[in-house]
Formats: sequence, structure tokens, C-alpha cells
Amino acid sequence: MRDYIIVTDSGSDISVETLKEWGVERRSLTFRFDSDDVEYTDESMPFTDFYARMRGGDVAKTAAVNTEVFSLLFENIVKSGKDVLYIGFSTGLSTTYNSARIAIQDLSEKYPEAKLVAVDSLAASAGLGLLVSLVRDKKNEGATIEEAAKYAEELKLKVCHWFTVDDLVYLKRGGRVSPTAAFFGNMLGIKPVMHVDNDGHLIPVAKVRGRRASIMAMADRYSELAKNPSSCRVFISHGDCIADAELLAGELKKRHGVEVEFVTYVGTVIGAHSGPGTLALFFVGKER
Amino acid sequence: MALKDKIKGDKAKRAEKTDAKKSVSKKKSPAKHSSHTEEKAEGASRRKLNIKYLGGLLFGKMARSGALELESNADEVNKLNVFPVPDGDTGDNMRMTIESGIRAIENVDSDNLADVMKALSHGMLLGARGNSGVILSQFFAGTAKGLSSKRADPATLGHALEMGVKQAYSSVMTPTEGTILTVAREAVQYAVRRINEKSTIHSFFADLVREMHRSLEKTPEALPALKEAGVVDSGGAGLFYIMDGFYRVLNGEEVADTKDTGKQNEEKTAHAPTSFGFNENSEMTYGYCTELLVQLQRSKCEPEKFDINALLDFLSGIGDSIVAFQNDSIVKIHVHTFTPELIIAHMRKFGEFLTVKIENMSVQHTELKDDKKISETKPQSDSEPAPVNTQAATDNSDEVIKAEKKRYAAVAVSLGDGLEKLFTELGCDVVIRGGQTQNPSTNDFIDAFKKISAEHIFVFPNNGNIVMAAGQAADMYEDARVHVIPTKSVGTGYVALSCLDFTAEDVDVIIEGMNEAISRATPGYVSPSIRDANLNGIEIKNGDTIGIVGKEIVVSDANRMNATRALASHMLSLEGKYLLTVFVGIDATDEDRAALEQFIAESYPDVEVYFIDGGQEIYPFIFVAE
Repeated sequence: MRDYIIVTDSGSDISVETLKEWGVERRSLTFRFDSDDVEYTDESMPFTDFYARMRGGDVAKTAAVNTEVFSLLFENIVKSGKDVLYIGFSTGLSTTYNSARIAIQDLSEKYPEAKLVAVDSLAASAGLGLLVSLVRDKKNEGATIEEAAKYAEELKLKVCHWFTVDDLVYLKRGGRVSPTAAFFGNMLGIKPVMHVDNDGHLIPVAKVRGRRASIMAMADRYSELAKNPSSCRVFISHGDCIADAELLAGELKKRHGVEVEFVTYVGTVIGAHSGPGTLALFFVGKER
Repeated sequence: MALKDKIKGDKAKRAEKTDAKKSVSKKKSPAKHSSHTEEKAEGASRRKLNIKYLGGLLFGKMARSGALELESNADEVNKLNVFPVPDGDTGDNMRMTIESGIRAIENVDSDNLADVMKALSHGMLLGARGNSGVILSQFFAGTAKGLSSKRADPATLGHALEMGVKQAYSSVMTPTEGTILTVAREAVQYAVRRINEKSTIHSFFADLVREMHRSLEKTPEALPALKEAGVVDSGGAGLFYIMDGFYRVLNGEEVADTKDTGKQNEEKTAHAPTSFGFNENSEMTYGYCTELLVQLQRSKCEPEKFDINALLDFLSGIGDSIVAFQNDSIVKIHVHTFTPELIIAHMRKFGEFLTVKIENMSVQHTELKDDKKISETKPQSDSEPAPVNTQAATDNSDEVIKAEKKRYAAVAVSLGDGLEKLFTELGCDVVIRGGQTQNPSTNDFIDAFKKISAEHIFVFPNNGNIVMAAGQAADMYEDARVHVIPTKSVGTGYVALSCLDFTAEDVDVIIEGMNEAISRATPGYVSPSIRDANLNGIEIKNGDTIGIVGKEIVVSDANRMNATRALASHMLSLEGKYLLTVFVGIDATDEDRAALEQFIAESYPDVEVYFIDGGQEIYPFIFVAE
């Protein structure tokens, strides 16, 4: 059995350093701001700057990873004698996975003995990161690429993603969520509670009054849905609102004694569309 | 000055007047009425008093007199507030309620008591405003049920009034003693007890009014709040004046039989009788009802491939009440929108128009709707808004595209421009202007409902004194299921409305969600004080600014901002408050607002605060804390 490399993309919101530790490769989606013509990746700008620019009114637009970037990486891996397991950002939110799939199709012809497997995580942000980390654990336990891929497929729809945002204007602008005006009404004081559904789309589920209420609502979802509330692996990502992330983490600890394993920034892939003040919670639950 | 003093004064004055006319002395306590033996000694002009039966013509006169009597004393009744705030104008509300009834009997020239009473009570039901107005209308409605023949003797009258009392009590969620209910009940009980074979209509009313006055004087004993404020109950006082007016006619006192009862005082319901009701100052409240028949053109598009779903998406972005479908190469469209030009421009990319109909829904047509319930009171006087039915008005083509009834709609009562805009943005279909000094009537609500085509209508009265009128309208309206969400402040109304999920399936779930949000919201406001008072242990001076949380006065201060800050502190110190919404009125200056903002940021940094330009009069700041 050949060794295989797990590959993901920057939609996973896990830093390059951490991924290196995990032995996972990553390629980045890119973004641009309306105000300048530079193509950035998550590495080229500190997150605080990114969100500050958004708050200042600059509009950020993201672009998927393109096929050649994946082809290059996958080919290198194959040439080094390893297989590729790509776990990618939700197709409901980006075409990145598609680029990878095309790259795989091409390379499979060129290297028929290599195993190139792709899994559409239907996940986003640290939810994808969570899935990747669990698959990597499986790999470390000795799973083959087929077993790891199967595990990923079975697990992916149990990775719960719960989001709230501070200001709905970014979501509406980004068009990644389709809230009707009727659902959201006036934005003042209304905070949405959203999740990523089984199709990998970001869907509003409820609206609550006030930021704090939205944070508590996310904790409520955890209490309801987490498989083992006291011992779940929990990731939190935030759009430059670390105090709120800590409030949420504190609430989970208070209710269930669970420690949040990872608190990370919501990267630009999601952040460009959900805006500063995004807060997201990820855990393995009974169902999304 | 306490009402009772004034009442005694009135009686004394009247006693003097009649003294001058007749030789009968009324040396007894002015509040008591002379026995009818003395009156039998009167001359021809008093013959009426011995009548045993009350007919429609006399009753009509009595009713008009009742309305006039209340009108003369409405200000006095208005001032009988427990809270020294300029609100709940009971006198005006009750006056307008009964005047609505008087207008309804204007051209009823019948001696049939049942007919007159029915018309009177129906007019009152529709014109009911304010809680006391609604209770008054229910009292009359119940009484009408017991007056089903051409005339009535004292016993029949008594029995009918007992039914009136019963209906009044059952119209209130939690009947409280020491209010109009008590005054009505005790008076009717007393007068009925004293009926004997010698009773006449006059003696019956004499007893009724006498006991009503006594009962009114006792209301502070039953309601500590009245005692503390040093007033008698305003609703009871209003009822007393009305009944006293009724009685005066029987006493031979001339009623100024003018037919323009209070029309000059009618405030906002009268529109200048233009044929459109939409002039250079009007606002587009309801958009255009737009119906188009489009012939898709091969020169512009492929008619077979026309994407009706994309069209529906487009339409939902610019309006509602949407119907669109395609038959071969013709597309039929119906939408309510403020921007009909957008759909015209859009469709011209695909074809040309066969028919175009665009109607301004804010224009009030003066056609009467064919609805028996509403048009029973004939004729519509010009100060009653003509029933508007925009759907009926557009139903004049054979190829009718009936606007589908949408599932949910909302009606809210607002206090100012800013609030009206806000409620509209939140999804309200109709916003009624009203509030403290101008409570909308039952009919105002019904008119609002008629502008909407929906299965369920949610109503947000946003004022404790409007809830009942809304409820009455809900009971009377048959073209939709109307649910009154009992919001007692614009703050809680805002909270409830912002939680209304127009996309949800189950009505009960929606209502529960809103009620739940309301239960966690605490309303408050600051208001100028219109008199001295000592309430809740707080010393209040006329001209102070008082702060009220829920139904309690918590602070009074000569300095408006001190009072406002104190109120904010009080509210934010309550358990679990993290979100404060502040509605800024026109009496608050920019400096006031900035000062408040700063105060909250410094003293309560963890609280999320939103300022909204409410534009309300009188109350500089209205709060809701969650």
C-alpha cells in the first residue's frame, strides 16, 4: 500500500503551519478587493487587516483555486510515489472542488496506477478543517486511502456547522445565502442563526434578537445536536471577534465541560461573504 | 379638581336653572334627583316624564343628548388620568365612539326602538376607540340585544341594560372593579331593584343616573391607583355623563339638536372629499397594482425557452402579491410594486404588451363594498372613511388575474413617521397612525384589513389602550383570520414584528415565537408630566419628565436627560438585559440623543444598543430592553 497525502484548500481555515504539522497539503483560494487590483491569498494579508478593510467598506470578492494549481501539486505527489486524497471545500459554495476533480481526471489518465481520490466535504471553514483533522487521525491509525475516503464520506454530513453574523449586509451582497427580505426583515438587532445543510449550502434557520442571544442559540444547537457533548472535538472560527468566540467557548465549557480544541480566524473564503463579526461553531453531531 | 366636585357643581347649577323655571324647590342634595311625585305636579312641558314606554324617536333624542353632554365634559374626563401623562384620552375616545353611533342614526327617523338601538350600537361598535370606547360599545351592543321591540317599559329596559352589563364584563380579559364596569353594574342593579308598578321611564333613568354618580364617587375605594392619583375612574365618568345626557331629555331640558355633533372635532378620520383621496402631499403607501399581458416576441427572445422562474424571482425582488404564468407565447403577470417601471422595462426585453394596467393603490375609491356587515349603517357620513377595497376596484376585466391570497400579512399601529417607515420595512402591509392621543377605532382596523388580501393577518396594536379596538375589529372581520398580538408599546411591537417569520408554515408556531419574544422584552418610556402627583412613592411635579417601566413610574426629574438616564439605568439593571432599542422622538434633540448614547456606552458597555428614528410626538424616548 502506497502512502497518501491528504490535500485540502484554504476553505478549511486551518493555518499552513498547523496543516504542516498534520502532514496535510493545502492550496489557496484567492481574493481581491474592489479598491485595488491585487490578487491575494490568506497568507498575504493579516486577518485583522482584511476585516478592517471590510469594515471600512471595501468589498472583497473570492475566486476558486484553478485546475492547474491542483494539477501541479497532485502530479508532484504522484511523482514522489504517493497517492492523493483531496478533501475539498463545499461545492455548494465554490467551484474549487470541481477544479480538483478535473485535475484528477487528467492525471488519472497520465498515471493510471496512481490513486487520486476526491471527497466533496460539503463543509466550510473550520468545519472542513475539523473533517480533515478527523480523517488525518484515521490515517494515523493506519487506514488505507480507500478506508480514509469512505470514512470521510460517511462522516461529512455529521459535521455540524452553526454560524451567526453581526451584519447581514455582507451575506446579502455575497449572494452565497439566499435570505428573502421576508425572513430577515430589518437588520437592526436581528441576528441570524444559520447552518450549512446537507447540500453544502449556507441556510438561515432562525433569527434572534441581539448578538448575545445568537451566541446562546449556537450553544443551544450544540447541546441539542452534539454526539457526545462533553467530549466532542469542537472548533470555533471567528471573523475578528475573539471576545465573542471566547464567550461561546466559555458557555460550552459551562454547560458541558467541553474544551474547545481550536479557535481560528474565519478565513477570507468565507469571511469575504459573511463579514467581520462572523462566528462559527463546528462539531460532530447526530446530523447537520 | 376632582370630578365629583364638578358634578356636584353641575347639579347645583341645573337645580338652580330648573328652580327658576318651576316652583318646585330642590333643596335636597344636588346630586339627588327630585322624586317623581313632585314632577307630576309640573305642567304640560313635563308631560313626557310620566311615560311608561320608550320609543325610537325619544331614544334617539336621548342618545344625541348623551353625546352632547359627554362632549361638553370630555376635557374634564380626559384629565382623569391615573398617570400624569398625556395619554389615553378617555373622554375623547368615548365621545368619538358614541358620536359614531349618533351619525349612524342620523337618518333613522323611526319610532321603532329596536331599529334605532341596533343602528346606534352598530355605529358605536365600528367607531369604538380606546378601551373605554370599546367597553362602552359592548355595553350598548349587549343592551341592544334586549331591546328587540318597538318600544320598551322600565322592566324591559332594565333587563336589556343587565345584558349590556354582562356583555361589557365579558369583553374585558380581566374585569377590574372600580372602573366603568362597576359603575354600570351598580347603577343598573340599583335601578332595576327599584322598579315597581308606578315606575316610569323617567323614574328609572333618574335612579340609574343617581346611582351611577354614587358608584363613580366610590371608585377610588375600589382601585387604590385612583385613590393615589386623587381621581375617579375616567371610563365611569364618561359613562355617567352620557347617561346624564340621556336623562336630561326626560327631564325636559332642551337638547341643542344640532346634527353636526362633534364633526368639527373629528380629527384624523375625515379626508377632504376629493374623489381620489390622493393629492400633492400624499404618500405612496401601497404601491401600484400592476397587471400585464405580455406577448413574447421571437425577435427578442425564444418564447419556448422563456424562464418563468427567473421572472418570478425578479418579481419577488420588486414587490409582492405575485402571480405569473405562461400560456404558449403569452405571459400574464400580476404584482403589487412601488416600481412598476422596472417590470415594464424588464419585460420589454422579451416582448411587447397586449394590455397594461397600473393602478395606484393609495388612491381611495369611494365605491361602497358589497359587504353587508359594514354597510349596514347607512349612509356613510363624510367623516367616516369610505370602505376601500383595492381588490374589488381592479376586478373589472374578464381576463382577471386574481391576486392570490398570500399567506400572511401584518398591520401595525405607529406613532410617527419614522416608526411607520420602520414597520413597513419590517414587512407590515398597512400601518395605522395612532397612539396615545388619537386611538384608532375598530373601523380604522377594518379598513386596514380590507386593503389586504391574505389568509392570516397579524395585528400589532402597540398600545394598551388600542388592544381592545383591534380585538373587536378582528372579531368582526370575516375575510381573513385575524390574530391580534397584544403588544402594548411600540417597543414590544417592534420586537414582535421583527421576529415574525413570513416564510414559516404553521401559524401557531409563528404566534408562539412572537409571544415568546415579547415575554422577554421590557418596554419603557419617558414622558412629560402634565400635573403634580405622588405615585409609587415618587414626587412628581407638573412639567417634570417621568420615566416609566412597564406600568410603573420609576423616576421623575425636572431635567429631561436626568430622568432618561435614570430610566435607562433602571431598565438595564434588570436581569439578563443585553439588547436595548431606543426610539427617538421629535422632542429629543441631537444633543439629547448623543448624551444618552454616551451614557449607555460608558455605564453599560456590554449592552448592544440600537437607536431608531421613531419620529413620535410627546415621548422623547421610547425603550425596549431584551
